[in-house]
Amino acid sequence: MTPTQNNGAADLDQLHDQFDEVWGNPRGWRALTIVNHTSIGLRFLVTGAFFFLVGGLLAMLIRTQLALPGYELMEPDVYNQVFTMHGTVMMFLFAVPMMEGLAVYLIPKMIGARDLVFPRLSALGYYCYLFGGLILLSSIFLDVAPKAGWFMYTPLSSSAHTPGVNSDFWLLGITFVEISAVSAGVELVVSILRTRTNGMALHKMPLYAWYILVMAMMIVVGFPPLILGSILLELERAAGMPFFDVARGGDPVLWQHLFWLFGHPEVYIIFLPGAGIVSTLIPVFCQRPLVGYRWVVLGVLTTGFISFGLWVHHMFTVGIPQLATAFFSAASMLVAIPTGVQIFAWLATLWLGKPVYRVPMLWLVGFLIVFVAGGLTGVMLALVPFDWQVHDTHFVVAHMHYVLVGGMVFPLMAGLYYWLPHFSGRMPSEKLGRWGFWLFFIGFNVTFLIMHWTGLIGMPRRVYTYDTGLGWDMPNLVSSIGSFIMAAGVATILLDIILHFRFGIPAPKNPWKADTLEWATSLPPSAYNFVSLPDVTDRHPLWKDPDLPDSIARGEHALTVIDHGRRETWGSDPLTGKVREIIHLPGNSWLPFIASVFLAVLCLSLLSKSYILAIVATIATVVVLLRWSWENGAHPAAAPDAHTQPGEPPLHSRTFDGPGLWGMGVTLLADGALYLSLLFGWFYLWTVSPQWQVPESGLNGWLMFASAVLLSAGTLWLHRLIKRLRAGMHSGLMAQLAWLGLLALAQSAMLLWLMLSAGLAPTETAHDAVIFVMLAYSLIHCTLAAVLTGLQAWRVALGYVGDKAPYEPVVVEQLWYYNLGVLWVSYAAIVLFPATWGGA
Amino acid sequence: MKYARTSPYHPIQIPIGLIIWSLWFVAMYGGQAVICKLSPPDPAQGVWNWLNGSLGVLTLLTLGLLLWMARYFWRLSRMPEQLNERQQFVTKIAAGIHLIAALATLFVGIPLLQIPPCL
Repeated sequence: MTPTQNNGAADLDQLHDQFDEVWGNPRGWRALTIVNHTSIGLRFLVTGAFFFLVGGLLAMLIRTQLALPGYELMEPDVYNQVFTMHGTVMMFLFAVPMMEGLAVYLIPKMIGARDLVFPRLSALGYYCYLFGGLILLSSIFLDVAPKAGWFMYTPLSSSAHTPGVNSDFWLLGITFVEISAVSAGVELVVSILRTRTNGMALHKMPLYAWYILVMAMMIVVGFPPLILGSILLELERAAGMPFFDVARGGDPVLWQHLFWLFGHPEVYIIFLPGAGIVSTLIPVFCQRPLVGYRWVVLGVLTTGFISFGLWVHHMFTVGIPQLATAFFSAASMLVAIPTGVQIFAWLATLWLGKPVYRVPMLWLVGFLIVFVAGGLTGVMLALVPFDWQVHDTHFVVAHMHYVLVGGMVFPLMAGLYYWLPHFSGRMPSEKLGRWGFWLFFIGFNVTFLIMHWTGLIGMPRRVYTYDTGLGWDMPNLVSSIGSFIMAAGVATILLDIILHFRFGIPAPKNPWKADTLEWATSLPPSAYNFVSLPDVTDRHPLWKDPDLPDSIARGEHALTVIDHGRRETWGSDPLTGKVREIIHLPGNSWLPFIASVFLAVLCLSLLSKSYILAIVATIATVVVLLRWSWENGAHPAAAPDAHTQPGEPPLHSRTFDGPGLWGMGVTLLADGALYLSLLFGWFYLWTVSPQWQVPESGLNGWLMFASAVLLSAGTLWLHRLIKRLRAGMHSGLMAQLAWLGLLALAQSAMLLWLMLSAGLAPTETAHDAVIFVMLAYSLIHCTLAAVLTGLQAWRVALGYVGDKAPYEPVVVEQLWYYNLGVLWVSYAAIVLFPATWGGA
Repeated sequence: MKYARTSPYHPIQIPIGLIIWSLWFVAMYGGQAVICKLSPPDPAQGVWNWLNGSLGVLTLLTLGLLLWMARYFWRLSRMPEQLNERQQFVTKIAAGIHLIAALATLFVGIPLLQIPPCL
């Protein structure tokens, strides 16, 4: 950590050139290999903006249709496709990816890192998002777009009522896109916890990073229930497994639970980053720290947790017992409190500061007005009797748009205007920016304020037209006029952004006099963000030291040696932010792009029911991903030379800790959320499904028990092996890993035998279908553990893993523990539970 | 400095209160759903029946645990001369989170006194 002094300008230029050589982005076709977070973040933002325009266009079609009674711009079937795609595009292809993209772009810069910890995962996530989004969007042009609403309720979305491929496009396309969301979630969590610059303790972290940490954790836990639901519904549609079919022991309400287990946290997943932008910008435009940093952190954490206890408030009318709805009603009211704490913190900061009303501030004020209004109608809807009255009316549409547009679009626009100099190096036009804001703000309120009344006088959602004389004519016309004013606002903003790239005045250094580290980069930033990494001991590093950007650029801080050719950033302690290792990052690669292409082929082959091709694409994807994992640790393409500068900590791959360990942990958390959702489905169907059937079981409980015992023995063996490795003893490592790989293979074979010999009829009863999925889940995981452990043995033989590079077996060990827990729980659920409660 | 996961200064303490709240919430919702299916109490008993009583006891135990832990972390955080800034941050946030979780438990549990189950 000895600061490097580069006095001569020539030396400094040479240093930056060396960094460019290692970190620089290629051009032409090779631009597809870029993994750098700045480029990937921008790609997310541009793609998200494109999908926003598509979603907006669909909204204009809806408003045109509803402007006049009896008007038929679109046939009912087309209208159903349009409103379904509007919701789907806005929620899945715009809101979440846009907020994640902004976080991918900003987080490393804000926490003083050079990149995210898993850059190739960022790239994979982006391509999955792009391809998934395009596949989904293509359905509109083929006239087979999803048409059962953005929530795909069964039985409407099932093959009996929507027999074409419409719902399949949604289920497969969205699952594909969700790979992107979860992968970004995993790497944001790990990056924030493990790559902050030296001294940036948890309590010194920018508030935006707190918000993104909570958002990313919510994605990790909140998205898997929908991924599971989509897999189950697709299995029902494609293979006839009756998870949601009452006649065969399923229950359509299970879909609603799985969807809203994701769907309600989703609202906060897109609101929290918005609130993070607000908490970042208000202090800058008031030139004082945010009031109540600790209170805001408390509020964010509380919001994140309580938002998982609200999902049933979307289902108040489905007939859930009153006491249960009362729990969710209370929790729904409760969540307003931590949100209120944040609002009071923002108001207090505005009160105590001297706010300057530049364009970003206008959007922030707009946010406060619109979001508070949406929050208040939210509390109204949390009351069960009121919800019953307005359920499925335009009142809910109005509320939802006030919350989502208010809580996400307004802060996002504030943020885009604020960080625009970062993207382009130029300032936007104040005049056009103000026009854009006012047109959007007025248009939005004209559209949606009156929609509350349209709903209160009884207009239902999702009707393609209506008769005159019901009192709905005028409010609908006003709403439609408002939506066109809003569209004019969007066009003005777009014009401003496009023009500013050509005519905007060059941005000065730190143009808004901000306090956070992202303004310490050059504008626009280089691929490596910072040539030297500063120590940070204050929440407002640029207010404390306004010269920090210059001293960073002069290379006066740490980690400035680059002649080894590695991309490096600090690995720090999650709590204290003290540096404890150097994380070396992978460089540009075709692998993420190729993997996503194979995944796209898989998605398309499932859509076209070409199952042989799907199997080939799956195998190809796995091979590419394993090849990807191969270039790691002491591999020649990663970090064969472990040499670091005197006084610097070791490379992470030469320790027992590192980002991969954390990445595996967080990924298994997501995986666990998926498994728990499956377990929830099992117990839910068992207790609630109206025609639950328990067929004669041929499941060999003893075989499953033996498989679990064998896995337990293997896990214990691996645990002892790693304990020895930690103690510096590595004799026989390769042979023991190889034996463990074989043991895992044998145990997987027992699971396969169990599945094949059980005589399951997964297309006849939901009971057997769930058991089939549960066993298949364990089989896939245990086989993966066998392959990874075998590869570890091979890597030991090649010298990539060993006492000098002992890190990877520790990562694989977590998968073994996970598999062990899952298999025993499954054994308890499908063997012991039925035997205890009857019906086995 | 690295802390053991059981240390009151480890950042894992920050979300523990709300994790306890989440588990309690799942137990409340899942518990009443399962019992209503297997052995629903007589509706004539109103709110004073064994199911509401059991869930009420669970609520009080959870409430007590959360309040006790909030007090524990609050008392720890009130020793500024013995703690560094980071330790104070963790203990104060953990105290706040436990208190919030306790209040959330109380608020969400109140319907047990008002609404009979399984209807």
